[in-house]
Amino acid sequence: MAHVQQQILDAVKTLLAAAATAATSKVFLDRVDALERGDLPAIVIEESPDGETAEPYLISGVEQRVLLVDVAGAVKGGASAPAAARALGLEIEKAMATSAALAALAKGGVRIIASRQINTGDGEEVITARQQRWAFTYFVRPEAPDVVV
Amino acid sequence: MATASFAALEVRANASVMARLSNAVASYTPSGGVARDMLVIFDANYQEVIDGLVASSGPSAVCSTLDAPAVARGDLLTIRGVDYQVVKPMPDGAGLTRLQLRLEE
Repeated sequence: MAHVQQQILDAVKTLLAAAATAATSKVFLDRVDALERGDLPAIVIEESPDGETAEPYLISGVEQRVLLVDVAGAVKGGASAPAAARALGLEIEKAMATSAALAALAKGGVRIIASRQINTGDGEEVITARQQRWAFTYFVRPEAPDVVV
Repeated sequence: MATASFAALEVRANASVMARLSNAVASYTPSGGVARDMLVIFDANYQEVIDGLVASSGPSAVCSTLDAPAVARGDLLTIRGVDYQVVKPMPDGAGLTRLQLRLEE
């Protein structure tokens, strides 16, 4: 079985691809190449650069881990693109916050801890992105970090 | 022997640059004005925006300032069949102007 980190990331991708957002099925996980304009609107999911933290529960022998995941919804267009990116961000939040599949993996909670908007007119079109940082708190035993407890 | 003024030499040099190095003819339409053709050096370099999230290009065109002395944001340029809006005119103070472009909405 994959590490719970991977299970969470896969679950986020599956959820958002099926969530009927403006990005439709253009949901990418661990994408290493820049999106093409033709891909937009799209959602990119990746583990946060701040990674994951782990703390032992001394009595039970279970670890609490908090995985940070960045989710970005990118949109192209004209003057309405920033609002469209926020609307895509809203769709992402609603899907993530109400997902039973994510809650089953992250029994300690799924919550958004930050978001920001980036708008740029440097390219041939206005491109905007709503970036969200999510925290997934889950529990595992140190010897089996692929099984949530 | 009469010598040309520096300004006249600059005009001649810029005209020569545009005649030899231009790679497109742009149809330039000032806001509320009539379209006219002018030579441009068109460029659309690859670039990545939003912290590398999205690939794009940065279209721009260099023209003689004399061809578009009052160019302004929102003016239209059609280059190679593609319509652009002028986002930012950037005169170099020496007779040429770089126009940052964006696809027309």
